[in-house]
Amino acid sequence: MSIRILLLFCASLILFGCATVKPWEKESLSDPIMIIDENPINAGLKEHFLDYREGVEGATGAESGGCGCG
Amino acid sequence: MQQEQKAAVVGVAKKLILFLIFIFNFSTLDFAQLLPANETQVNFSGYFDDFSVSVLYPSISLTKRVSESTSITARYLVDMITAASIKNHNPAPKVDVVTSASGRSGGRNSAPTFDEVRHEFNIGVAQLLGSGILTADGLYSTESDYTSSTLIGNFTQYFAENNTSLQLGIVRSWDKVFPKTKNWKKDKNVTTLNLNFSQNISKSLILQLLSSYTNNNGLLSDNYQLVPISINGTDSLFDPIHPDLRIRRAAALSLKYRLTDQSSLQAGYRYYWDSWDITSNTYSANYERYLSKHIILDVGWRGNFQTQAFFFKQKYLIPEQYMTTDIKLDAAYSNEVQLDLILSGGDRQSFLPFMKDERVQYIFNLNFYLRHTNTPYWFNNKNNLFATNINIGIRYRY
Repeated sequence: MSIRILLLFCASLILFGCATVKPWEKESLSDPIMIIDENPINAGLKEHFLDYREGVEGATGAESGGCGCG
Repeated sequence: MQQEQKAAVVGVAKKLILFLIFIFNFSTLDFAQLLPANETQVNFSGYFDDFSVSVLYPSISLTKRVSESTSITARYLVDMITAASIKNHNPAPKVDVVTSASGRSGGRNSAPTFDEVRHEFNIGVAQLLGSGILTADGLYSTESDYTSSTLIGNFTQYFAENNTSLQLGIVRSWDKVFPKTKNWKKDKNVTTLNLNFSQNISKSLILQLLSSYTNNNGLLSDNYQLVPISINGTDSLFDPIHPDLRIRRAAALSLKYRLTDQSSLQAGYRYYWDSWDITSNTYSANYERYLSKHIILDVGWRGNFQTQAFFFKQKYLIPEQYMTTDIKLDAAYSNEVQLDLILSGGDRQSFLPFMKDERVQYIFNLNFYLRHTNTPYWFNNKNNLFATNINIGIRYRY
């Protein structure tokens, strides 16, 4: 499974690495509503309570602190 | 032969050094905007659930650019947990199995107090390196029966006119567990590797791929969780026993699409699998919309569907090699509905004075979370956990 995901990841790099949006076309992408996790501190706070209510974590791009809450 | 090998190694080393010199000397001016901006952020957050757990966790963070290519961040967070707990049941254990906190001393009718307080300190630096950013963070968390020291390093490289980014990250934690009710001290070590990729596909579509690999070893059970076993008609409470190694992997895909000038839609999927036989599928969708030039509404949903750990049981008849009743290791599904409101200042026409300053942003987050587990939790006989998470934040940019 992990090899397949790695292959998919590499294929995506090759496929999408060629797509280029010109600087003058980026106004739309820099709008706050188009930024993924515009507020990383807030994203970490949200992640914090999920980590200790579910048996799964990772691949969210957010970091939350270590604690002994289980 | 040895000389040939030596020459080949020297050749590779020279190329690597030239590559690093090229990367580090690349103009930093175009990338300065990628550094975190100067800001102070204060959040007042609260978590409340129907397992009688309440957590208040205010935090403050400061980010300051100390040069054109360097910024530093400091953060402080405090968790204050209060819980009416299992000890209200008979027989009453000495600790709270819901929150891990040590029990209150006031008895079942005592007024709510904070059972546990956790302090978390974080200091970090972000450094522009050519067309990339290197970040390093140190984090220390302490509470009465647990400490955690964490180092986080990330390097993000931008390519293709900043349309592509590749991020490599490592997180290393050294935790110490020393329950008040036990006379031992044990270690838990966590190493996480992250590989993330982001791509602007068009002027209205962004793709993000995230993956993580985590090695957990040491004491992986929550020793304030207890395992009830009835032996010869007498109920006894045992400590949980988890395997001392857990390999956790996750891979996620996220797409953000601009629907109109005023709105966007984000859809995400994550697959998780680990060496304790838990697998999960997590789906999410967010709709963001400008209610006015200065107000953004974000409505989201997240669903998680997970299988159980191979050693999880609701009840054990005899002590076993591995045993746990920790409900988050049970098969479960959860749904979370999120409602965010972001008010950005700078509205000079506003009748509200606090909306006139363009450096200020106000954040309101409200989350409703429902988790359904296959088996009811042994101490309260509930399958469903309902929780509410609230956050009010202020960002001040300068």
